[in-house]
Amino acid sequence: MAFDALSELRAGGNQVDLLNDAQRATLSELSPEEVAMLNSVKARVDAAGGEVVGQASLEPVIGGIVF
Amino acid sequence: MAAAVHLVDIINSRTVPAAGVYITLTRRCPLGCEHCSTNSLLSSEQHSAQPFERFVATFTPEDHPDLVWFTGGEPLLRPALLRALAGHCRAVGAGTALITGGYFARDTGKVSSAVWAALTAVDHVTFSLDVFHERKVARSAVFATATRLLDAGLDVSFQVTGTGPQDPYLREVTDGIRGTFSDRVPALVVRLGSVGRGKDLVELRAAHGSRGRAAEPCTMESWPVVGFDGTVVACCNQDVVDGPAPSHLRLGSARADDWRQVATRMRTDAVLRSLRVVGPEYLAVSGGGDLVPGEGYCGTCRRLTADPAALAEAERLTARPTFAAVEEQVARLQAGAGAHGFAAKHGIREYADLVLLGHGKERAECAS
Repeated sequence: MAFDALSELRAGGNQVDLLNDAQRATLSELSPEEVAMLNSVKARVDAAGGEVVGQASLEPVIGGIVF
Repeated sequence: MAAAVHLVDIINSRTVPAAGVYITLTRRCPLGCEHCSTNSLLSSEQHSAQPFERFVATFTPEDHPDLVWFTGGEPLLRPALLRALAGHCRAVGAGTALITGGYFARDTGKVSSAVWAALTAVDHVTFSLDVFHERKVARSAVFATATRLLDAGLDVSFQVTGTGPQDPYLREVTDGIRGTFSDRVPALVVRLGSVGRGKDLVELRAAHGSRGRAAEPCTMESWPVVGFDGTVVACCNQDVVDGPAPSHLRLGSARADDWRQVATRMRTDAVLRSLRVVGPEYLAVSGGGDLVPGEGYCGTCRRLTADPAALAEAERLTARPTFAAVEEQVARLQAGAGAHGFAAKHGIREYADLVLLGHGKERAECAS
């Protein structure tokens, strides 16, 4: 069965149907590796409001610069 | 006239490559706080103004960062330089902000004319507030200065540092901010870091284990940082800024490069693009080279230069014609989280709402 990037992105929680046709067409060309990247990032973004401790609070960031 | 630059505006552009730039005017600071992340003292390094002046002079009306963030050390130890740089930024259409510990108000609470001129030359002033700063500068003096700045039409915010959500100081000081400024002034509440002299106070929390070949974008590598000596690097990790920076994170020098060159490298370099999408651990694992992720997320990144396979992996990823679409989607996801999401991730989640205070209110209303 052919790889369906948009279906995989939807399954990962990416709201691809809110994008316009051109954007969806581009995303439909993504490789399995690229889809996995985006699904991973989506999971990280969703988790940020949960228990995940952010990168900047774990790492030494100059002058307390966070933003 | 200061432009409106709310904390939310700053945060919203924080992950956009080269939307802003940090300029560290000096490592010096007279406060000597016990937790200082930059190990600053009044005797710390301070270099010639020339590299900073030269670099900022390359900002043009057609090509400039949206926001220039002055930091240190204490940037207001160089008020004339800061005022001049901010003046050029304003002339070309770049917004400006600075972060200060408020040393200038510690004795009498009064602000000298030189410091006031520098403060009012920028659009947004952030005050560092925590138990350590409060031992050096009275909160009442900081609040009085913030009130004057608000009355002068500037945007003001606080960066409040504490040990965690249960820290009683955070509740008390944020209640004070909200009450004093009637919820007009936002605050970003962050954890005390194990960096600089903070290493003596806080044990470095164990970084999460490597997630291996799972994308985890770096959101700290987005705005170039002009270091104390004029070296320009791609991220704000203290060890990187202190140098020597690994070559994949070195963008150039304020002594020789202009804004256009630095911004272009920031936006187009294959390794930097890859780090913003998948992060260093993915590159190390996926590259299949000798580098084993470890020493934290940033520790892995700092060692990437020594792993040709990881660097080649970045080239492979970005060479795909669809990589730009992946970048765009990652940017959408991050933007979708908004300023609150950013504050929840990078600060103390329980206080993330405070970044939104005062957002959307008209300045005239705030000043009234």
